[in-house]
Amino acid sequence: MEKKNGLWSIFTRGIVKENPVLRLILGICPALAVTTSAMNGLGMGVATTLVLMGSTIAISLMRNAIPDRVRIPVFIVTIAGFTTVVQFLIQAFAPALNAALGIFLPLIAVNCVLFARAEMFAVKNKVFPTILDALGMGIGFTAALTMLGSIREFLGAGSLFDIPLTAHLIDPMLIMILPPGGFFIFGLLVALSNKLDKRPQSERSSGCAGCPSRVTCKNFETAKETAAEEVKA
Amino acid sequence: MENLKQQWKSILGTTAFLLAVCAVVTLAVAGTYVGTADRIAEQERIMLAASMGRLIEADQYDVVLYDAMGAPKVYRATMDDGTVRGHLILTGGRGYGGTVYVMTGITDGVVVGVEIINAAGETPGLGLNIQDASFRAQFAGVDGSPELIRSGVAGHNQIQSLAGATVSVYAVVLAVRDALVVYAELS
Amino acid sequence: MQAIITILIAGLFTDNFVLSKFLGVCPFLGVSKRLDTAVGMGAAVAFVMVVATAITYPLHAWLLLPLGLGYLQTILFIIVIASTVQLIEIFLKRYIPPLYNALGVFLPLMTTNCAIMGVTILHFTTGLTYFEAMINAFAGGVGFLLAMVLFAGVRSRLEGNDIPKSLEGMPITLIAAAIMSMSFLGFVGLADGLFS
Repeated sequence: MEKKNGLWSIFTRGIVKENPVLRLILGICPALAVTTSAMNGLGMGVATTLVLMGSTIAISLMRNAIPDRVRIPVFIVTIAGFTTVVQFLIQAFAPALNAALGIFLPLIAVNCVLFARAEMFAVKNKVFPTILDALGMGIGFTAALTMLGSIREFLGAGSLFDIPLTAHLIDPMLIMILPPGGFFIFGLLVALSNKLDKRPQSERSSGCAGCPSRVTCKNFETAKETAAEEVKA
Repeated sequence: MENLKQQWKSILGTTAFLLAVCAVVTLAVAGTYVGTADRIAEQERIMLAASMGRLIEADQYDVVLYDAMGAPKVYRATMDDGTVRGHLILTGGRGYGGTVYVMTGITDGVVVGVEIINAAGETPGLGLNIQDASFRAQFAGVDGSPELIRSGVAGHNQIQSLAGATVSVYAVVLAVRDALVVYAELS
Repeated sequence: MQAIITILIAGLFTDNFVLSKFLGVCPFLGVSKRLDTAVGMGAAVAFVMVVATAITYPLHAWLLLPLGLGYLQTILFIIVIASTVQLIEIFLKRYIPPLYNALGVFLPLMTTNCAIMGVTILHFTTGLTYFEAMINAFAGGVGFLLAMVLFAGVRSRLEGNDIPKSLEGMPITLIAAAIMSMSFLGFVGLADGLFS
């Protein structure tokens, strides 16, 4: 029973409590750039989830064989490989999505979320929990991007998933689909999720340990607590 | 001595592992590429055909001219009974962040429309507005070298610029000028 | 010549990598709190961008593409960038210690920096020549540095203010970035005006 609870929480934490975009603040570049519409946000989320699952499963399978010294290069090559594979699949079967995501499709290879999950989870856990973790994080990422995209599309173009809603009634706020709008709506969403999180600041974890930026990042203090949490779990 | 040998062994082992991972990944990528290349090329053809259909309706589109690198440059649109409905010419103009690729449809020396094939380097919300139908409609009826004007009503062979997108608009104007030159050389 | 000026203005202002293209947002938000770290990070990014372009461009244009191996671009670029960064770090540490002390700690962050990877790929999707690509990398890098420095100034002013609890930290930083991004939108008129 305890084990089942543990696995379930591994799956769900990536969706809400440790949502990679809104709580761990990882993978923001694509989150801001491609969310000019709900469909784009959804598409990017799905593409990233595919790469996330593929690469973390591969790394988890190899975890006992990877020499510690070349850990990072192995992550890099694996993630880049899966990104390219997913890129081709999307080019072949969903060219409209490919055109919409543009350069951010190959940039999935440098998305912090992937490195963070590989470093913090995949390389230390068995395959099945890794699948759950990746799926949870992926769903969380996709949900956040779709939400961001929906809000920006609705305010900036008066439509949702390309279905015009208020487009012909009110002049939409163009700035919402331009870069300033991205920063702004994202800021408000993070503020909202901060407000809804009733846990004190010290208990909130971040995915920093897996991110190379941690040395100069202000969130690093909380990351040390995360590392302690993971060891206990 | 033993220590050095062990060190070498560990370095070799590490390198071998890394190389093995690289090899497997490269194979997987190459495999996917080979598996999807045809489909991707097909998608591009479909997209191009859709653009061509929007500019000049016809039953058949054949390539009549290739560019220096072997890619199609001019398509001829014909009906089943042989009548030529017009030509579709692919050209590019130097835009804001690189080349803007344009397809110009020309019938009897007059431009019937333009489609933006690729404007990846232009700014969303500003330069990218060259993709809007209302802007592109200005090119219909152009029969000589188009001229860019910043203000005032656009007359014959004149294109009015878009606010904040002069460089991108100029790229399209250059591309259409090029297309007209290519068309003149065809006849 | 006009092309060069357009590239310079685009990279520095109107198509600013972080405020318009959303490349390099992570270090932008994470490191811009203090002016000295902002300058260090910005300079490091500019430096690595130029070096990375110098190496990746020939590799892709004159090795991968002619051999029909263009699909290996993502993998090759990221490996090259990661190795380049490592080599730069070692080189600086050994031969130019003062520069290493200034930039060194930021170099490992370059590997997952989407600005570096982004700019090297963009050079090909927008069809630039080698020379134009180098100018673009330089302009983009300096533009990034500019944005970082300006933002550090903004954030240091935010420090002393009374901010609502939920907006503290990341949210207010993002909103400040939104306003800054808006101001950079105004530069679009600059490019237009120069070539009228």
